Parts: sequence; C-alpha cells; structure tokens
Amino acid sequence: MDILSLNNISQEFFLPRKLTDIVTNRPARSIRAVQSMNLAIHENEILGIAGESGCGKSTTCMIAAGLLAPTDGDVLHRGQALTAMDEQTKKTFRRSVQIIFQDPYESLNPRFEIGDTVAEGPRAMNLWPEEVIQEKVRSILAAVGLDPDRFIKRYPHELSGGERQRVGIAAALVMEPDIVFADEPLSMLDVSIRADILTLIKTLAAERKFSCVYVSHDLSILGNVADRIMIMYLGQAVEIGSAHDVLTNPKHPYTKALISAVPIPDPTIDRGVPKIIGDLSMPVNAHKGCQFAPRCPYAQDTCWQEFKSLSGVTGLHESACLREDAPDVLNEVVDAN
Amino acid sequence: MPEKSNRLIGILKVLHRQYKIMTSNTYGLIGFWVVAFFFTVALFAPVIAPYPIWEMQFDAETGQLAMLQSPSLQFPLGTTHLGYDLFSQIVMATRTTVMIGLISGFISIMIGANIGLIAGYYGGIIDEFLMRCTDVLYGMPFLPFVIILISLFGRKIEFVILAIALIVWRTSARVIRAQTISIKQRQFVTAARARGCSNLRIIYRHILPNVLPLLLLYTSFNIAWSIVTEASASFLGFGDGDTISWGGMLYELWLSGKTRVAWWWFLPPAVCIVALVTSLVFISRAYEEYANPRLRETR
Amino acid sequence: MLLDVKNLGVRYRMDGQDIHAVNRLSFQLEEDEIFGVVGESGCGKSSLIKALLRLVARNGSVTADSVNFQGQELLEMPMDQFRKDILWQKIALVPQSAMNSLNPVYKVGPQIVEAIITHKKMSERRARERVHDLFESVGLQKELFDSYPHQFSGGMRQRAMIAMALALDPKLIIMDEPTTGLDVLVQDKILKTLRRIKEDTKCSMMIISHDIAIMSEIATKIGVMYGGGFVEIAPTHDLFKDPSHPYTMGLTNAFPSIRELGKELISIPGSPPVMMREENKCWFEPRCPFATDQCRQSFPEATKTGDHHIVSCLRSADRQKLAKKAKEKATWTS
Ligand SMILES: Nc1ncnc2c1ncn2[C@@H]1O[C@H](COP(=O)(O)OP(=O)(O)O)[C@@H](O)[C@H]1O
Ligand SMILES: Nc1ncnc2c1ncn2[C@@H]1O[C@H](COP(=O)(O)OP(=O)(O)O)[C@@H](O)[C@H]1O
Ligand SMILES: [Mg+2]
Ligand SMILES: [Mg+2]
Repeated sequence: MDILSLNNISQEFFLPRKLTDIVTNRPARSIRAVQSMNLAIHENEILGIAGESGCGKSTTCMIAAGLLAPTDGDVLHRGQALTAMDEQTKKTFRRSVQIIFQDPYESLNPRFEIGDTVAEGPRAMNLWPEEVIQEKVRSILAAVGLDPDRFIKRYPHELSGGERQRVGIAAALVMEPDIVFADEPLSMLDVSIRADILTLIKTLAAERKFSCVYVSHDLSILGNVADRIMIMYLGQAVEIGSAHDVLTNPKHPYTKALISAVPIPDPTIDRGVPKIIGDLSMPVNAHKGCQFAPRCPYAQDTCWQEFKSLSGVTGLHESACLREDAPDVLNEVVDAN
Repeated sequence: MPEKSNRLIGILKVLHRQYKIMTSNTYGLIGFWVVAFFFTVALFAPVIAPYPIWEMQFDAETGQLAMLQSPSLQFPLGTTHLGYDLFSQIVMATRTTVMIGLISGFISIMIGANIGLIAGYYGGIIDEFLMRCTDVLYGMPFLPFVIILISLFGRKIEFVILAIALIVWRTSARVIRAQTISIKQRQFVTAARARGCSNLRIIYRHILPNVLPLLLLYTSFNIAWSIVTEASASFLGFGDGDTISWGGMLYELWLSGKTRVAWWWFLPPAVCIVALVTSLVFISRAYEEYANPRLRETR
Repeated sequence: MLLDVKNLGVRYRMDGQDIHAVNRLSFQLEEDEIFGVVGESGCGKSSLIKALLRLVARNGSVTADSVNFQGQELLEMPMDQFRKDILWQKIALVPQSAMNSLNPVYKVGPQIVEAIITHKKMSERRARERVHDLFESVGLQKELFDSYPHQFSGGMRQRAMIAMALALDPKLIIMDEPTTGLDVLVQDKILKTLRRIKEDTKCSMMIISHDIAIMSEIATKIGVMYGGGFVEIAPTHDLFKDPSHPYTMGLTNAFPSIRELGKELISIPGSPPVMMREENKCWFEPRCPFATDQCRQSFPEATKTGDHHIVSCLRSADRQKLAKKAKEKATWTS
C-alpha cells in the first residue's frame, strides 16, 4: 500500500487586499501555490521533487506532512484521511512523518544542546521512558556519524554546517518515521561535504526502511539520489516518472528546458539550448490552463484553457502536456528568444 | 548526589553568564555594583539601622530633642523636624523600595511576558484582543491610574505593589510579542511542531529561552519603572503609611514645610532614587546590547 | 598582461585574533579571458576581490609583493586616484548578492544614470542613451527603465547590476557569485548574456563561484582556491582533463552530473581549515589522502606542470597516478 497519498490537493494563499482593491471592490488576490496535485508515495522509495523556486515544492511538503491544511483535497496516510483521524492515529501520523529542513542554521534551536534537540520529539510525544530516549539518541547520533560523547552536550553554534545538518537528520530519524521529507537539505552546505550527507540519507533510507521525498531545484542531485522524479511548475505537477525516464527521455517541454539548462561539470559536453520564453511568471490569479503556456514555444489555444493534472498512479511516466500526443512537434527546432 | 551538584553547577554557570552580560560594558559594570550595594543594604537593613525609625531621638550632648539637626557623628544623615534619625529611615526605606521594585517588577514581567508570548504565538483573534487591552492601558495616564487603583484598594503595601504591576507590564508585553512573532517564523519552531510538540511546549520550551535576553532587559527596566512609580505615588501621599520608602521620606519632608532648609533630608532619598533607577537602566542597556549586537558596532 | 598579482595576503583582526583569509596568493590575468575562481565558502574568495578593489573592511589589512594592473601598482596608488581612475572606470564589480544592492527607493534606470554621471563627464541625455543601450545588451526591456527594484525578479536585478558594471566600459569585470540563488533557467540566461558581453566588449572577467559546473561552462581559465590561496590554476579543459591537485580531484568527485546518473559521489573527509595563523605547510594536508611528511613541513610552492597549468602540490610529479587513485572511494574513506 502507498504510505502517503495526496488526492487532488490545492493550496491558495490570499494576499492582503490593498486599499485600492477595497475602494474599487476588487476581490482579494491569491497565489495558487499548489493546484490539483495527485501523488502517491510507495514504501521504500526516494521520490524527488524538482522545480524553480516559488513553484510550490515546500508548500507541497508542508501539506503532505500535515503542517499546513490544504484549501482543497485530501492527504491520506496509509489509506486514512488526515482530517478524519482520531487522536491516537493522529499521534502515530505525527510521529511517522518527519521533515529534514533546508537550513541547518535556522532549523536547530540555538538554546538547545544537541542531545536535547534530538530528544525533543520523543519527549514531547512521550514515546519512551527517559533512559530509552537517551539510548536511542546516542545510537542515532552515532548512525549519522556524530560521536555522541563529543556532540551530545554541544550547542548548534559550536558545529559546522555539515554537522548541524546531521543533527537535523538525527532529530527526524529518532522518531522512527516511515516517511521523511527532505526539503533542499544540501543547499546551505559546502560542495565538498554534500556527497556525504546525500549518501547518508540514501543509506539510512535503505537500512531503516523509510521512504523519502527529496526536494531540490538541482536536477543533477536528484538524478543521483531519487528513484522517481516529479517536476513542478508554478503549483502544477507537470511530469512524473522514474528518474531515468524523466531525465533521459523527458516528455514535457518544461522538463526538457529545465534539463538542458543544468550545467554539466565537463567542458567537453555541449548541453544545447533550453527552449523557453521569458522569465518566470507569478502565480497570482493566473489563467486556468497550463501555467507553462506563456513560456511554452509549442502552446496552443487549448493550453490556455485546460490543464491536465497527473493521475499520480505510481510506476507510470506521465506528463501534463496537452500536446504530448504530437511528439514530433515538441522536438522540432524552435528558436525561442 | 552528583545529579544535584550538576544542577548547582548549571545554575552557577547561568548566573556567571548573566554577570558577564551585565558587566560587558563599563556602565553595566557600574550599574551592577550599585544595584548589588542597594540590595545588600535592603537585605541587612534592620542590622544596619542604628535607631528605630519612628522614635524621637535626643541629642547626646544637650539631652534635648534632636530636632532638624544637620549631619553629625551621632546622626550621620541628620534628623527630621520630629527628631527621627534620617540614616535609619533611608536604610529601612531602601528595604521597602527594593522590595516593592522587585516584586512589582517581577509580577509585571510575568504578566507582560505571558501576554506577549501568547498574543505573538497564537496571533489572530487572541492577539487582537490582548493587544487592544494593552492599547487601552496605554491610553491611561500613568500616575493617576496608579493613584486611583491605590485609593480604591487601600493604602497597603500589597495593593501598592499590585497597582504598579498592573500598569508597568504594558511595554514589555508589546516588545515581547514582537520578538515572539519574529521567532515563531524561524524554522526551528516549525521543526518543533513537526516533531509533535504542543503549542504550550513550543511557547515555553522553544520560544521563551530565545526571548530571554529581552525578558531580562525588561525585567530590569520594569523594576526601575516600578521604583519610580512607587516614589511618585508615595511622594504624592499614596504610599503605605505604615512603612517608609524613599518617596515617602520626600512626602514627609514636603509636609514638614522645611524643604528649603533641610538639604540633608532632601538629598539622600533623591540621590538614592536616581542612582538605583539609573543603574537598573544601565543594566538593561547591557542586555539590550546583548540582545541586539548591532548596537555594539555603532559605538 | 592585464593583471598580475604576486603574493597577496589579507588578514582580519577580530577579538584579538588574526584570521588569515588570503595567503600567498598569486595569479595572472590576460586580456580577453574569463577567469573562474572556485572554492568553498570561507576560503577567501570575497576577500581576494575586496583586496584587489581596496574595499577590505576596516579590521582587515592587505599585503602584497605586487598587484599590477596594466603597468600600475594598484595598492600603492593614492586612494582618491584609485577611486577616480580605476574603480568602475577600469575594474568594475558586481558584488555578492548583487540582487539586493539596488537602492529600493529609486527607479533602476535613473540609478544607473546617476552612477555614470558621478564617475564620468557626460550629459544626462547621453547617459540615458547609454543606459538604454546597456539594458539592451544585458537583455532587459527598455520599458523597465522607470521601474523600481522590487518590480524586478532576481534575474532581472542581477542583469541590472551587470549593466551598471558595464556602464563605463571597464577592462575587467569582477563578479562575486553572480548566479547563486537564481534558478537554473535564469542562471543559464545570465551565463549566456555574460558570454555575449565578453564577445562584444572584449573585456576580461573574473567570476567567483563555488559551483565548478558553472565554471566549466563559462570560464576559459579556472583557479581553484583552498585555504586562502590558489592550489591549481589551469585552462578549463586542462583542469578537467588533467586535475593535478588532490583537492581539485576531490571536488570533481563530489559533483553530481546530470549526464552520469549512477555516479557515486565522494566527499572530501574533514572540513575546511580555520586559518588562525600562517603555517609553513600545505593547508589541504589534513584532508589529503596522499599527504606525506614533506607536506607537513614545507609550503608547496607553485610549480608549472604545463604551459599554463600551475599547481601548488609537492606531489604534482605523481599527478597522473594520484588522479587515478582519487577516482576510487576507498582512497578518501580510509
Ligand atoms: N504562508 C504563505 N503566504 C503567502 N504566500 C505563500 C506562503 N507560503 C508560500 N507562499 C507562496 O507560495 C508559492 C510557493 O512557495 P513554496 O512552496 O515555498 O515554493 P518552493 O519551495 O518551490 O520555492 C510562492 O509564490 C510563495 O510566495
Ligand atoms: N571583516 C571581516 N572580519 C573578520 N573576518 C572576516 C571578515 N571578512 C571575512 N572574514 C573571514 O575571512 C574568511 C574568508 O572570507 P571570505 O573572503 O568572505 O570567503 P568566501 O567569499 O570564499 O566565502 C572567512 O573565514 C571569514 O569569516
Ligand atoms: Mg522551498
Ligand atoms: Mg563570498
């Protein structure tokens, strides 16, 4: 069974009305951060979510982790809707779904010792007696590569960025979750130590048998860590499939552009030109069709009217492009810009 | 027991840290020692004071009532027109003033901190309600409000303390609310939520330690304000008649009509008020610098 | 030669301690070159730039044998002459997080016009025309001239800052992390713009980044920084084909590539050095799998291993053997 599934999730943020809006009686403007999203996450898989900043990746994670109530749609944890859970199930959910945060400098309480930071979750939820908690804290710190004797009494400001991120991982994993959301966990870290953290997440996921949703704007990292990849654009999921399929055989014009814009650390490879028009647009009360249409060199009238949301059925390689059935069109050489 | 001694060491460490912060600049250092001096005097007042405060004293040489005497060996700070020893009075008054300052300072910071934390954390309608209440208090003229409360409750020291505490909290509440709002948006609060911490646990375990420097700043500030308020109220004759305070001493002087002559009666309480309040403000400045390091660079 | 830096040092004094941000740093820059400087955070990239532009913070001090720009010694020049003749006119800077360096209360176009007029005798009309041209060459629409910075996206602001840097036709443009924080598609366009500008104006560029992938695309020559100095400088192709310093080898291992999905990534063990004192040894030695006793005893002088390939490693003679070993994970973990 899927561990977690999102059914037709939408999230709208309403912006404060300006005085001029009130005077002219214009309705409140809103940002559609996530729009009709379907997604299912399997046991023991690493799902990558990619997209430009502001496309709704973090919002999706917050909704899926139950920290933000969606405007529309359901989140199901092992088949049970989040909104229909009793206290006990909710507690189990809270414990089973954990987050590794982006910024290791911001996500650790500066006034907590490392040991207390890691023990805080189990203590707050009364999971185990104190001695057991201590025991688990030590073993998880060791598992993420921090010597408990040296680190348990230290404060975050005495740690390097990489060490802090390890603490963040430990604090999530000590809860023994079955799914972990990692929201850009490497973006604040130095290049030479990123690989370690990435490998750590990968091996722990395999050892401790949890699924992981790994969010990143960097497709080359996702290609390395993820089993499946979902691409988002302005709140819409535009493509999903196995990492290999999406990265080597992308179907959606946006995915194609994105992939061809990723720099390659090898000067002998020429990656070609992304086919895309203009800069990122804002999702404020956008038109109701495909959000990518204004930047898509292949857009037709229908693209502005309709949006095809992905089914979210696992295992499929799907694209939300309405012109998917005309692959030759999508591959023709158009000189955008 | 090692547990206990560990805890003791922990507490000592915290105190040492506070001392370091307070004395991190010269003014803070001066402030700290002045305040320490007054607190010591307050603590040992009955031992220090040579005479009972409401007892007429007689001149050792002439044997006459020591009326309105200027400072001498027998009466280091002189006497009042009724022959009371002013040195004993100022020492005992220190005790009263420090006590009133400390207690109403702490009560007011408790009220202010809790209202600020709760309003800031929950936001929405709770915030709206609590902050409007604070605004109403801001609309009240400070001293008349205290005086009215005292005359309603009665001129007892408990009520004086309460009346002061009930108004002094307003600034701390607003400032701590603002700080709470900014801390609440930091990621470690979301992290705490994700790990199953309840709202109260987040407020008191995660946010409170982070507003602590600000809280201490306002504690010392509130104590200063309480002392000023008490002095003002007492000077206007709204202090507790059974105890003596610095403001009360000035009130007696005023009543005696000897303001122009008895400089030894006027100066000590006035100097004490200014010295203690200024020192407390110095300490709060040191905390302010600590809470907001940017102030340090501009110096 | 455009710029010749010999034995540059930058040292900051803080809380009674010295931080040696830049140590024994030397490099040369030719005309019509894009010189990429890569290195991890804290290795002294920004300090290097600030030293060249004499913008080092007040608690910092700069030493050098020579910083020669077109025959002029930059550090020996009087400060006002440097400000008047060099800064902006000859060497322009696009600072780190340039996106936030525009003044939010003034319109973008007039801001640049103002900057031009204060540095060069030019009528306001001419300056406006110049800014219109600049907007075009960095790919900003002319209509944006009268917009405020907050109406610009991150990429557009970065373009505006590049336009500002180009305003006085400098010989050298220095950019500190020009695409950090931008999305890949925007980054791609900025890189293209930079390349086109270089073609059009024939100016040299010095671009700083922690991202070796970006450098491989845009730079003609790359300098790898570690511990406040260059450990390797080489033409881009040579650096990737023949990495000669163990740190460079480690960096290429740590980088994922979208073209090599299964590639196993290898970190460099340990963490960057804390440069509290000047040491007479290799800074990378504690993290280096190939370190010998020699490395602990003397500072590795820069040696030429190719026409334009300079390495500071005592073991550079064995570089091919080491490069092969460096590809294996066991080399770095044991
Ligand atoms: N609490 C909020 N209030 C208003 N707008 C928000 C809020 N959170 C996110 N947004 C908006 O929703 C969009 C998606 O944001 P986010 O999920 O953070 O994107 P990403 O993580 O992909 O960068 C952005 O346009 C952002 O400005
Ligand atoms: N004004 C300053 N005072 C003290 N230390 C500084 C100052 N500026 C930079 N440093 C220190 O110098 C080192 C190099 O910094 P920097 O040149 O900014 O590195 P980079 O740009 O490569 O990240 C760092 O350790 C940094 O903390
Ligand atoms: Mg995000
Ligand atoms: Mg920098």
